Amino acid sequence: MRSMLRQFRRAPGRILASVFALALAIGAIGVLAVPTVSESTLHDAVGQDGLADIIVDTTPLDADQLAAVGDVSGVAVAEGQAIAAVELADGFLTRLIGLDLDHQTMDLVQLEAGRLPASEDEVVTTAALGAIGSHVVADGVSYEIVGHGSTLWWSGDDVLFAPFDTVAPMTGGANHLVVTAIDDGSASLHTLSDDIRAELGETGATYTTFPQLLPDGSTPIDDDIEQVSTLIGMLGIFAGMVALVLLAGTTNTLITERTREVAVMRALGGRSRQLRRRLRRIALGITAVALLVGLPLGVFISNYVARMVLTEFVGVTPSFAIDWVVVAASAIGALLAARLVAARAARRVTKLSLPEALRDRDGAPFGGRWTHRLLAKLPTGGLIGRIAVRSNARRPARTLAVTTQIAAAVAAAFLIPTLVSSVNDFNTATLAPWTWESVAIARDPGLPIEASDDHDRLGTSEAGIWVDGAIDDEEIWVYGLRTDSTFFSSDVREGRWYADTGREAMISNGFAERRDVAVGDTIPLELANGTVEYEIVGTVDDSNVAVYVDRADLAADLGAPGMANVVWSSSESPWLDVDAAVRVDTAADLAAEDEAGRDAVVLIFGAIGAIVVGVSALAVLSTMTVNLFERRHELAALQAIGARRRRLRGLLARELLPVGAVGLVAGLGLGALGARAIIGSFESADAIDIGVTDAVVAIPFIVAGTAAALLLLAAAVVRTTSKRSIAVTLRGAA
Amino acid sequence: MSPTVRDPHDGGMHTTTPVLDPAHVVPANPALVQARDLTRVWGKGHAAQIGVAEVSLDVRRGELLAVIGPSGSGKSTLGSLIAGIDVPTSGSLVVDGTRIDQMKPDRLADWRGAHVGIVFQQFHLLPTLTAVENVELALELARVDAGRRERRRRAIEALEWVGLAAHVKKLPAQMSGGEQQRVGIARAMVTRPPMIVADEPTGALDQRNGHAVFELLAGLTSVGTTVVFITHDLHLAESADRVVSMIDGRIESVRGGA
Repeated sequence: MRSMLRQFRRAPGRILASVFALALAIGAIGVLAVPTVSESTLHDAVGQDGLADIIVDTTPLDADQLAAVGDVSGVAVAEGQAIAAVELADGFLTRLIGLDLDHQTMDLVQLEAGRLPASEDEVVTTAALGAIGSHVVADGVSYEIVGHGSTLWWSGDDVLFAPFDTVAPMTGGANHLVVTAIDDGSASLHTLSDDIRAELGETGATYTTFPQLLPDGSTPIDDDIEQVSTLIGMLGIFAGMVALVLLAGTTNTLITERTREVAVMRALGGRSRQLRRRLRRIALGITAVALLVGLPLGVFISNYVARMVLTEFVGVTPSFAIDWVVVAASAIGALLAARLVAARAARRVTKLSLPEALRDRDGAPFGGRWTHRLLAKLPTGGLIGRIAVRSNARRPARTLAVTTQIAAAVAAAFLIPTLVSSVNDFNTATLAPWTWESVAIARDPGLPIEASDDHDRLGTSEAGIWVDGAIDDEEIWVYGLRTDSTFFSSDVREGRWYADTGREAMISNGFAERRDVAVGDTIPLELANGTVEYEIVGTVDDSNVAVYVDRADLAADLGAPGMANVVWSSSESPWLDVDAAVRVDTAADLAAEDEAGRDAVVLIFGAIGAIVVGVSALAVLSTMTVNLFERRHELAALQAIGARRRRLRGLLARELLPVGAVGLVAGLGLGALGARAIIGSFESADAIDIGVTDAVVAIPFIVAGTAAALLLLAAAVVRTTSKRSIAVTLRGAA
Repeated sequence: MSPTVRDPHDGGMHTTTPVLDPAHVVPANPALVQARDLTRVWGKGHAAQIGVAEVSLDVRRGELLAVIGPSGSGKSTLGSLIAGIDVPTSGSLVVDGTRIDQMKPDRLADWRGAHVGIVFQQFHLLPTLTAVENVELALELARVDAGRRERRRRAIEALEWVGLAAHVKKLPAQMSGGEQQRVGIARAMVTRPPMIVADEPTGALDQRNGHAVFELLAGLTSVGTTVVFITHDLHLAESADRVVSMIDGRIESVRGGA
């Protein structure tokens, strides 16, 4: 401890800079904890909320039918809820959810304020729909808002929760089934869902939506969170690698700058082993102090990013959580890395020949290696240029470290906009085959096709079906379209467009390629009410995971012949002759939604990118600060013989700019490769064609930013140098 | 009196453009350096450390002035102030008709490049430059009006004059201390400054090398260069034109000369 304090008193600025650099490096590793922190928050919410294992909409069920479901083998508890689509006074379409508030065990409303409804004219909703004590009018009926809150299943949606008896008369009974299974493993849930469907079939009821299965306590947004977490994890690994370089560079420097001191001790009889141990202790001591700052910083970073992810994507505000594994791994990793690097540097320092070490004040003599002698013979520009080139060669490890740090910063700065532009282009591509201006969506296949086709008085319209399905347990969107659809026109990659005879289908090309589905294959398509078969006759370039079939066939498959659930229209404000509650989304709405989603992604990844760039910049700054310290005599000597500050700036700029150029090229390459790796992993995981759009527009900004940062750094270094008296600096050398 | 040394214009030097131009030889008076009440203090209050206190001194043109004194007496601080690599806290300092104590850093850098050569105890050569490049750098920084070839030629001549003709392409790490110090002298005199300040240039050398270095510096006075020679070595100091003795940041005595 006393030794540490002595070290600190000796050079407080540099020790503090090292501690801060290491602390930030350790803190950056905290990004790796984001997925765990997010998941733990979600799973806590699942526990509190009583989220079901199987969730599905059904035709209206009476008490006997619900009891029959409860008797199915493997069902622990089955409960019914009534959900009605309602329109608020301002035209907002939402849902009124009827819950048996006194007896339910699943989907428990978590109150933020107020109380649960006690009578049929009371509701709980979100603050966005009104203050507690105010009234909300749905389908002409006024309800008093008595509380604010939601369930995990409906989090992020502005819906109304009311007693079951309020809604059941509107829906004809329970039409939303939630089930807790005895065994919530994935395979068991699939079997159980099929069994429940079969049981309902025997009582004359059926599923009306594709069942949501949530095995092993997962949540409906687990997939989304997992994808975001994967991205964050990859960026976290990136940040961790940069942090390790920073840690190694700082530790290495801490040891190397003691070369002469160690040489003096060796000359006085100090044993190399003893000195190596002493050097390692210094490095480990500084790392330990850095851990005290870095670990809480890492916990803060992980919680901050997790909060952004969950708030933006799920609408859940997470509680504080700590990933102890990442905390422990960061601490052990930092100490191990510091130990390894310190051991190597200490070995090098204690192996230098004594006369050389005592003579050379900087611990980096120039002229001992053949590369130095070769460089000394090469006319690499003017004298200042030669100093720049040779100084970089003089400390190859440091030059490599600075190059790596710049490359890491550039890679992060290029990776983020590349991901954003790729996501942006993908979003555009998914909508590209669709030429409608608005889509009206009904909750169930409740729109008569005949009454919906070509009945928009403001434009043309076309009825269709859009439901969830699965092929071999892989979820897929199922579209039922007219064979002569005017609103969907994607290029057929292979095969042909489907005909309205013979149960034919087209499938997304990305899905077909990645799941080995070929033209001519017959696929089992699982729908809400059972599994049907279609023959694939073509693949389409739609950047989606979808299967397209004739709407009449699909309507029949869903048990609602002649009915549709969407109406696509050429006008933004469709005027449809249908008597059903529908939600109308315009293409502009969806584009805005995509943009909002993209903004959220930009925000989250931008924050992580900023961390990586910040750590890298600090690493460069830290390395350059040490570099400046080591070369203070050289720079002072240059000033003494008449070099102006401009010359010194020029010298440092000539040293840094080539290093920056190499780092820039390497960083751009790394960023491009990283983006391809990340997007490639999503493409194979989701069986989808996303494609990479390199953010070429960002390159000039990155180049200019890197050059400006390095020139500013050179200017700052020279400014610091020239503040000190040349005589004092030179005398310090003696 | 200066000891007898080899004339830098003789023996192996070019005769067309000598390193030391006779045009620089000027009468020994008036004073090249006029220091008045020079004080240099670091820190404040009780922690204040005095380098020199109210030192007044004239240094004549073409003289060899030795500054002696025990460690901490302020002789190096005085040398740094005269060389323009440190700035006095108070007092005035005029060198060659120019007041340098209030100059801005960049102007002072230009002034140093053109008016003073500095020889350091620890040599302070640029480790990544060869001997000839180190000397050439001084010409480049002083913005001597000569092309690259001419600068190279002059640098080689300077190295030949200090007896390092065979070492021009060696790096500092490949040379002995004595050789490095001679490169330092070549670097200091190559720009033909009117004054050279040598701060304990023999301190890191053995007696033979130390003596050779002293002779080289003393020889420069024969062509009119003023040399301020800071040393611990009383024997060498005795060979100077005048000897300034310092103690506790003040001049104790000035011996020799008129």
